[in-house]
Amino acid sequence: MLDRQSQTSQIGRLRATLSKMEIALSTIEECIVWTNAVGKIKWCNASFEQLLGRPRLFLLEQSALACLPLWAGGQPIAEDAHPVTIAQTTGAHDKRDFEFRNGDRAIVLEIAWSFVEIDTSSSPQDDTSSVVLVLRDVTQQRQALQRQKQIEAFLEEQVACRTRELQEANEKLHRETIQLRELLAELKRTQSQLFQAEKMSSLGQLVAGIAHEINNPVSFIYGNLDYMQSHANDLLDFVDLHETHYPEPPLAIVEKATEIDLDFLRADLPKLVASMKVGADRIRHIVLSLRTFSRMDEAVSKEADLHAGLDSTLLILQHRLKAIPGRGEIEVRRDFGELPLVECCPGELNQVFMNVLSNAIDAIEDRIEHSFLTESEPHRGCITIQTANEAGWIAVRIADNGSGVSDRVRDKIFNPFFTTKPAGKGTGLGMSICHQIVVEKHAGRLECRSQPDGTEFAIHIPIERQES
Amino acid sequence: MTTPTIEQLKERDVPVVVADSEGVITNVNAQFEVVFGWSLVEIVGQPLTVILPVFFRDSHNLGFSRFSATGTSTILNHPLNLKAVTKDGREIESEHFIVAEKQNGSWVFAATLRPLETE
Repeated sequence: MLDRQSQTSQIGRLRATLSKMEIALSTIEECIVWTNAVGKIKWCNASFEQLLGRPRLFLLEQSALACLPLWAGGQPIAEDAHPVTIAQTTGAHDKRDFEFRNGDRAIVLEIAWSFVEIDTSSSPQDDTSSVVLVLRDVTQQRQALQRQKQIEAFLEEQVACRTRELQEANEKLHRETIQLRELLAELKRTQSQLFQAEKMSSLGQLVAGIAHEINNPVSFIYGNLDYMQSHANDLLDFVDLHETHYPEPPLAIVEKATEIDLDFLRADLPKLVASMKVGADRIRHIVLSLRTFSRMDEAVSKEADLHAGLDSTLLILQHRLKAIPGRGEIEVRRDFGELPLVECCPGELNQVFMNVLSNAIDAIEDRIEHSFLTESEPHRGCITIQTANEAGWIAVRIADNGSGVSDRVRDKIFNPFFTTKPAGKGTGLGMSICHQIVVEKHAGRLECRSQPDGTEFAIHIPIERQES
Repeated sequence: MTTPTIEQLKERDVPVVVADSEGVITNVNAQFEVVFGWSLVEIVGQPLTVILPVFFRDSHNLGFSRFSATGTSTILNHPLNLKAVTKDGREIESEHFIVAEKQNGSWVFAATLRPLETE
């Protein structure tokens, strides 16, 4: 047995240790509560005393559930949801947030609970099992977290809102860009068509002007040729009559007759006049064709004979159809049906015929150029023009036996600026303008059918135009 | 109001217990013997915890140790309604009035334990 002095010394050392623990536990901010097996408070630190506003001596042996009523979601929690009960029933440790009402002030406590089992063999009156709670006031942190979440949610909403706005603006911009591109393309197309139309108009005016200027002098010639023939015949009759009555003319007359080769002159003069008549007639015909083609005086819609338009166009293209070194003449087969007069803009339709026929000649020349390599004898070019009256529509089919076009080319053939010709030779606008004249101005149809041995353009014009 | 001395407490007509700086009982008065059932000879030399309910013992040990180390306490010099335990284990509601004095460099404690149920 220890003597009294040793016991006193031992107790003093134990007290010193306990005092350090007590002081240490009273300095921490967290509240610590120790209950027995049935949830009665055995010990707590100074922070817990301050939390409840009651000294420890009056908390001892009190029910922790009664001293520490907790709330969750604004409602008082049931006994079995209290951390003391949870620790007692589960024997586990965990932590969770609870609300605690300290007077009028509601605070958030983070409560960690532990189930403690100790050996009480040396102090039988102690409980073998107990519960320790550690309470921390996290009101500010949770409020800050809540505020942070609210701010984050607000910011996320703002970002989402801005993103939506940006997306909408972007889509709008995209749509506007597409519209602007389409408008720009349309503008470019219109500009080019206007330019081409202006060019054609200028050309038409020039042709019309030249035709008019030539027409007058040709008329003088043509109009006087009959008189000239009549006068020549009178003169020749007079010479015949003179020879009949004076078979032996004076020497001077005989010499002059020999000098001018009177016999030849008498035989040739009628031929010469007839030849001049043929020439003048041809000039008159050409001038008429030029005027028919240009039709500058017929910009507005009127009834017109399409055969006349086709003929005049072919006459103008005659120089391209005739034989040239390297190829024979291109044959033109006219398979004209009975056509009524058609209400149309003839000058513009002549422009269509000119374009289609020019392309047909180009295609034939292209094939002939290549036929030297692939065919045993030169290709013979032929253009067939067929017209027909088909139930309210005039059909004009212009077919060639040229090189033909591929499906890919055919699909784009009416697009503005599309051309298969070398740079500088084609503008890519010819067929586009033809399409515009036939489809938009005449409410007709313009179709292209092509095979490897030729192409056919079918132009359909309504006989009576419907005002749009 | 001045704090009564230990000697003055002993004169009161209520149970009084005196302990040394180690928390060991050094003296009790006659009223204590009557109310708590311990004789002076039996109780002198016992720790103070023998007259405290089980619940108070850990807290008492910690508080007593803290006072020994710091000299500060929240329970001295004012009446406290607590419990005390008699020799036969009965818990008595009583008003405790605890004082501490330095005698010859060591703390000496005394408390009156006035039973409330007798009033």
